[in-house]
Amino acid sequence: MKYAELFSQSHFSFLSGASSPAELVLQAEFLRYRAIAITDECSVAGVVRAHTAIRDNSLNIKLIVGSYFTLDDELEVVLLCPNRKAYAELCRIITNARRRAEKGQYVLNEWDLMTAKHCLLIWLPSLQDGDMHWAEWLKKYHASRLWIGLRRYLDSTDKARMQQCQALAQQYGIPLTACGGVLMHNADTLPLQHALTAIKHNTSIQQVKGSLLTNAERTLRTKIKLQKLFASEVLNESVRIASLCQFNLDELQYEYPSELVPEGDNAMGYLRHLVGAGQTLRFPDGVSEDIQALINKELQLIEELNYPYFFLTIYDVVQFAKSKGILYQGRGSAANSVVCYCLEITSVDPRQISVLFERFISKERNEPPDIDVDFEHERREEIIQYIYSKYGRERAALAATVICYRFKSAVRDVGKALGISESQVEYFIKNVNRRDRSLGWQAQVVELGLQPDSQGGLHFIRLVNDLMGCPRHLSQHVGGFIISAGPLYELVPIENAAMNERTVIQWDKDDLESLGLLKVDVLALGMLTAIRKCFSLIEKHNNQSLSIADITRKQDDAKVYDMIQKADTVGMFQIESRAQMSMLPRLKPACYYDLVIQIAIVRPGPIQGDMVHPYLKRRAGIEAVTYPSKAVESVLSRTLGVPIFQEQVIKLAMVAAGFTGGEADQLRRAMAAWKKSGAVFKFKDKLINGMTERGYKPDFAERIFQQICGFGEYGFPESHSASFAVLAYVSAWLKHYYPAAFYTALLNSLPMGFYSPSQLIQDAKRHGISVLPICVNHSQVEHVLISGHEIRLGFRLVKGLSNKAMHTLVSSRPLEGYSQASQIKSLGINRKDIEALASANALHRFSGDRYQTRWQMMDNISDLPLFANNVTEESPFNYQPTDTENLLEDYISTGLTLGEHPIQILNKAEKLPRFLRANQLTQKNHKSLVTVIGVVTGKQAPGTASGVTFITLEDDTGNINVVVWAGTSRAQKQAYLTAKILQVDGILEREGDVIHIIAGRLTDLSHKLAELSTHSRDFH
Amino acid sequence: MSQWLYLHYPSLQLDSAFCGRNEQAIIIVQGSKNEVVQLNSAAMAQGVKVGMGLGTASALCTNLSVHAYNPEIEITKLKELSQWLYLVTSDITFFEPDGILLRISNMLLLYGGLREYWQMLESHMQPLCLSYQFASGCSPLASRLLARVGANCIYPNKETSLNVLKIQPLHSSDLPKNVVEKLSRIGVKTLGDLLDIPMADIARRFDIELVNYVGRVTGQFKHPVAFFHPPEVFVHYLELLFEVENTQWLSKPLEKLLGQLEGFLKLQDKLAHELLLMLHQRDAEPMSITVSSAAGEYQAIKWLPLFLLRLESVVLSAPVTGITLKAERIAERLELKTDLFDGKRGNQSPHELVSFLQAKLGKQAVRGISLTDDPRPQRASQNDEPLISCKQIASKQIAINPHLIRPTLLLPYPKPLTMQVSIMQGPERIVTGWWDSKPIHRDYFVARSLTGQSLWVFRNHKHQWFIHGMFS
Repeated sequence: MKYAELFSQSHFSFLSGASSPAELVLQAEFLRYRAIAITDECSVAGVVRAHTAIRDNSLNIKLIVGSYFTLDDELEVVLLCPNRKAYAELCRIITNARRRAEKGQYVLNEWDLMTAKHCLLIWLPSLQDGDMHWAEWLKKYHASRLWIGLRRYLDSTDKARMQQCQALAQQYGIPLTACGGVLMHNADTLPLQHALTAIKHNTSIQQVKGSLLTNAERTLRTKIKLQKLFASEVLNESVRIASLCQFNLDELQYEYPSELVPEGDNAMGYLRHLVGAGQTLRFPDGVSEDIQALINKELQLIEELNYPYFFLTIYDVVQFAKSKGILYQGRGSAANSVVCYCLEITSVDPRQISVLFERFISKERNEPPDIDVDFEHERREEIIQYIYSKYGRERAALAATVICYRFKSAVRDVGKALGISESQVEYFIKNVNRRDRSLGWQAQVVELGLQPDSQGGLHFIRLVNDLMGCPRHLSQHVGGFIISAGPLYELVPIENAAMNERTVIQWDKDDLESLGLLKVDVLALGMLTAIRKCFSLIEKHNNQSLSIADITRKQDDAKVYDMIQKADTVGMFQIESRAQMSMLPRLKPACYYDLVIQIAIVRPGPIQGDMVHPYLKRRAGIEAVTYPSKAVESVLSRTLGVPIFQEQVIKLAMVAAGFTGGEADQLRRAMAAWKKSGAVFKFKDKLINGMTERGYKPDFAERIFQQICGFGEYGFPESHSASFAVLAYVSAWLKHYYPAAFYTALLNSLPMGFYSPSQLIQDAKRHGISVLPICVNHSQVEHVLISGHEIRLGFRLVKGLSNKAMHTLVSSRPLEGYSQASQIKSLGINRKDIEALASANALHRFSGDRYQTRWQMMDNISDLPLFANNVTEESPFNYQPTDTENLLEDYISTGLTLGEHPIQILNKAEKLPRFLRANQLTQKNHKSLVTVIGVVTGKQAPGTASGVTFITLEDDTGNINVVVWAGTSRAQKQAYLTAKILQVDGILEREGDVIHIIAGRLTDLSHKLAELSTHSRDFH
Repeated sequence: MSQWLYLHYPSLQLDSAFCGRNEQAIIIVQGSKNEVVQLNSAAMAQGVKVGMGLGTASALCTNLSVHAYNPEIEITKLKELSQWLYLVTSDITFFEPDGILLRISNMLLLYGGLREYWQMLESHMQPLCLSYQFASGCSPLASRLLARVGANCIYPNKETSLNVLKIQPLHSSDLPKNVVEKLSRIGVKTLGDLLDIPMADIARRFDIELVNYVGRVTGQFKHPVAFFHPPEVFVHYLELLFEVENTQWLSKPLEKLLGQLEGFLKLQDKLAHELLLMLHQRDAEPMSITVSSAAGEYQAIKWLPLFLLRLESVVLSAPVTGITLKAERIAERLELKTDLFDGKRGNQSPHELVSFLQAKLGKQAVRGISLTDDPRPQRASQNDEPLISCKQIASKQIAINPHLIRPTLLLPYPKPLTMQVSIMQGPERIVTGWWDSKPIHRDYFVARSLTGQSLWVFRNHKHQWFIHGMFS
């Protein structure tokens, strides 16, 4: 007996289907079905995953692409695709239905169905009076491609449904076929399906009991059972229909937009031409032989793999950016090729790195070329609009991101479905530490009072586990565009995104990759904005025009690396974080490639994989650099035998364990999602056996596998690190040679990076740059660089000041400046803006302090024209703010102070015990007892360091790094959790130039500032 | 000038729900702000403070019991409190959700002075087990402010209270946050600072509300408040002319009280739903009898037989000296709609019949039946209030599936199938109910017995057969 399931919905029929496409195809194959159709509701979002699961597991089952629709609650049909034409038709129908409705919804109309000329239709009669009408209607348009789907749900309506279907079939001569109406891959999934139904109704299971499935029959059933339920003719008919469906997703051929190539030229020829032209630009002194050889090799590979259009597409986008003066930088495996350097897609100068690493897509690794282009974050929208206008909305769309249930959302929704009170659920969410790897969340929830042995507790834990990872809805990818030659909707359906005027396709980037379709990543990066702004400042003040390539072309600069080695890296791209800063003095990067490693090594992957210490030891010469074999040496020599990059792990699997290119690619994808799917464990035996067979020791093999797991989602590819390192170096170079311009540009590009304006400005001051306050007569909207070494703060820093007011203030400012407050009032900017200005002390020209300014500005009488120039009688205003009040005002209105640091104020007021300043710590010995006090500016409990919290304290001389062990923080919770000003008594630890304070006692001093600010007026 | 006293209950919800329980840390959290608003001393001892986020609080305190803040609870409690206070003082106003204002000027004469009045009030409140803060003041707003900052003081005169008032920071006043913010930004931080500014200067710079506030807090402007009136209740006591040992003899005096009740209800155009009759016995605890009417009733002639029915079964332990009648539940009169086509009716309405039967048999013995949407057959119907109309059922939105086959008679418990039957229809498979630990896994069939009876039978997952119902 043979059977093909023609109607099954995966969890991409959101909140209806309960199983993943992969679970469905695996189970269907296990049950020896001939074929399975994935027919999600008005969607093909799940079909690629099913397709991939069949391919990766070499399953012997045919996948049919289809979709299920309802029309006005009257008509239910399943459309199946027998061929490519039908598939294009299905995509068009889905697109039309989706585009008519709001995000996540669809509205099908009769016309959509009428015009289906190629799809096969399975009609699911509704048992209502309308059935006769629809039978005639469907027969009229689809006579030869129409079946009635006979379903056996064994529910109370089962008999009536069967009789109705049989009667309709007989009366209208429509053939019957068996189908399952599958929502679950097996019966055990029923509770999850019930929970999803409750979530869909936004209530608890108890409240929707009447709407739940009454049994688990909507599952993939055994053939024995099917044989009992259905007559053999209708089972055979399902197989016959399946045999008509010859469409395979592999047929989808991506066609690049042809307008990129000038008429009369072909793509490859044009690319060669562009590369040739770029060569003269990038290598004005001529190209060396080895680089020429590299270029030729790359071009040959591009031709072989048929990727010229891909490079041309990106070339076109970056040329647009270049013409608009938008700074960009490409990254990714293909981006670091010399070809990309010549096409000006990246600025990674091959001479800097050529010898060291594999720069290009490798044929045997079978991965598609990967180029992401970062643009200035403030101007990325221009690029997006360019792409839309060039290719039209029919041909360009963003890839989707599948938003999945995560721990919190799963707990919330399952809690609701099981009727657990909201405050209880929030309590669980607040208190479960997902980073605690020693205690799973299940155990933690039990500690928080969930009864693990109660039915409710078991259901809760199980359902949360099941729901995590289920997709919730489609959202737009941050910048992954798919661009095609023909209308996109013949390739993949398009639906509305939440953002107005944005559309997304129904597949995410993994799906696209799986099918070998190419996307162009258009991403936003704040540092590029800052660098571009810095370049223009330098051009203006120093008459020097710079570009990223200009700086990299100068080759490594020892002075710049000197600064990096001292961890003087506030504001520098990628190497400014606390963790990076403590690693820099140890790793002491001295050349470009060191930076590439530096960026990749301070990541959870290498840290969890325990690769950092071996690398540091080997670099310092403490440990010998050895390799288990020549093959391994070829992969790991550039990182001293320690795998640091994702590419190295993949390559290792190939050279040491004999993985094929295809397998290595699967391993790469499994690594990206191993926590979710655990798929990586499938490779464990193969990897370890492969390595031992090739003569490696089992423990080395085991370690490599552990490293693969550790890398997990966090492994950083060398190809991306290489591009980031360029930006890191450029930002360091700018900070070293043009510090004032650098800080000004950074401040004008916020929000970005790691630090607040306050921290950046303090760092600037420590580098001898003077910072001038915001002033109504001197400031511009942006921060301004004055004579190359001073920064005048701009109005953009004033909280609550509207954009309009800022511009009015600047544009209406008289040459000699404003001379009295009433002039500001007469500009017609609103009261809130004036108050914001007064609070930021920007009006200090007119009156002594902000209190007095505000008092004056509040007065309504002088607003009246008659009184404008009258000095009306006023009671004297005699309020004198204290330092602390000014400090608080500064922080409230601008987030920073140019006055004294809070610690300095407290110290002057003699509110603090004896303590050491940040800059005094360098003189202290290792292991000495110290007391430090500072404002808490950072608190991080990274998942990589179990139980340790890093607190950053800031005083008036700098930052202090405090390490708090779990035991300490637990014992002194209150100070640890809530203190804003913290005193730490602890032990100073020094490793080279890196100083940490290991906290012993934590004392909360936050109230000291409040004590100072309670101002008393009693004295007069 | 009036004198005012304000009582502020900072943890009204906590106190009313967990009066004095301290073995476990309890906090009350306002969900919208995610802020701890009330907490017991056990929580305080572990460092939790008012205003903290739930996350911080739970990090500080293991084994924390968290409850959502619900102002309704406090308002209800406040009303109860007012009724309680009304026993000793008049002129009560609530400040929802957690304060009570008393105008005390009128009371001082009655109690002979401020101190005596306060002592009486304090002892009156003591059994309530509620923590409170209090203060007197020359205006409602002044006393409220002082009470809320915890002054806990009865001031002998206006000046002393004003002096304390002046040092209070503005953020503890009733002024809107933005006004306080604005004032602090010109250096005005305490009420004293504010009062120091001439009214004219304030009026030039601020809205009229601030001027009003200043006037009201100092008592210069009138501050009208609405006073609390206790709800009307019916409680009447009747001393018997002679001691009664047989309950049948209570009929006459009871009729008299019921007559008074009838007059009371008529005046208010209301119906009583439940009456409490207390039999005060010589040398024994009073005995109480409750009688209720589902539909509500006001006529003595209808209530009397219900009481007499109940009294039949009452055994007195001592002679009755007096009776009290109390209307426990009174409600607005609802028009009982009858339809022209409802057919012939007896003198008794269905509601009257139910009341009658319940009085005779006990409330639990007379029940109605209603549908639920539970997919498990034995739970598809449930006991309910009697006389639920079809409309009310429909409002529960239970869709009745026309294809659903259910027997006329469902057995209370399935019986093992012992006879030979032939299957007529089925199966209908029901696999559900996992969520409340009463899961079922059954295949139901319509079967015919040898005697021709149609049965509803099922087979469970162990392949055992049962009869669950019969078709007519």
